[in-house]
Amino acid sequence: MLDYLTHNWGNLASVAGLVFSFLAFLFSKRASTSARQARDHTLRQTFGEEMNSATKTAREIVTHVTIDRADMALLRVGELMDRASYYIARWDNRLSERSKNNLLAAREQLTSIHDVLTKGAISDLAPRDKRSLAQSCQRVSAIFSEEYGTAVKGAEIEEQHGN
Amino acid sequence: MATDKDVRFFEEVLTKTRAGKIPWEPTANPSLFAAPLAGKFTLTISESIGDSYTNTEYELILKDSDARQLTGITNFHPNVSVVDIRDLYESARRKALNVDAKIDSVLGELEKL
Repeated sequence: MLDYLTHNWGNLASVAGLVFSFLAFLFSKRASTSARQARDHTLRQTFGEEMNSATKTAREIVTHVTIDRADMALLRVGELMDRASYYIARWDNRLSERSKNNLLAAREQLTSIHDVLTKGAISDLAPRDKRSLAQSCQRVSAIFSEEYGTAVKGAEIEEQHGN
Repeated sequence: MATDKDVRFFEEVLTKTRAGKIPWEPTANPSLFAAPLAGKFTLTISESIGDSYTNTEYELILKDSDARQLTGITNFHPNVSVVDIRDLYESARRKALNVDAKIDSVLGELEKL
């Protein structure tokens, strides 16, 4: 046995090296997959938190419009328009077409709300215009809420697959 | 300045809108309808009523994902007919407000009377 080892130590060392290299490759691949999953999970959570925050702001707009506080509503609308533009640019590579369309639709709704609110007091609006304004605010809230739900669902599915 | 490509764009939007394939939605302005497209663009169509029928302006706008206006077509364009752009506005309005489905529902109710 000792004689065999003495004569073939080079070959054995090569085989052992090959095995260790393969194991190292396997572990590094697993580590890289785990790191990618962790990064995706964190990004999804971040997107979810941003959508949750946007939903809260959108709800505030609904409230301000309901109680005829155009000044307060305008502040929040301006803020959410900026954030919607940021979300569209920030998450462009990671969102589905449906989500991107939703965010574009929300920004367009916000632009129209902004235009209506800058024209004058909510109480001066004709009933039809007031109804359109209220429905548009509600639509923005629903869009961000839907995106929040989608993000949470995505994170849960990832977690289930990870476990 | 509007080009031939702009006219082709208008005609395509009109065709797809008539076919009900563009997801027009109402906005806070009752005379403005918007639709996101392919996750990259936004279309809006609006009607601004002037002093008289001839002063009414219809405008189709295409914006990119940064909300920059790429092109705009109005009824004053030499190669776009007023009838067509008004039809686009009306078709978008019907789609956004789900007019046809609501009329079907009313017809159903009327049949029961």
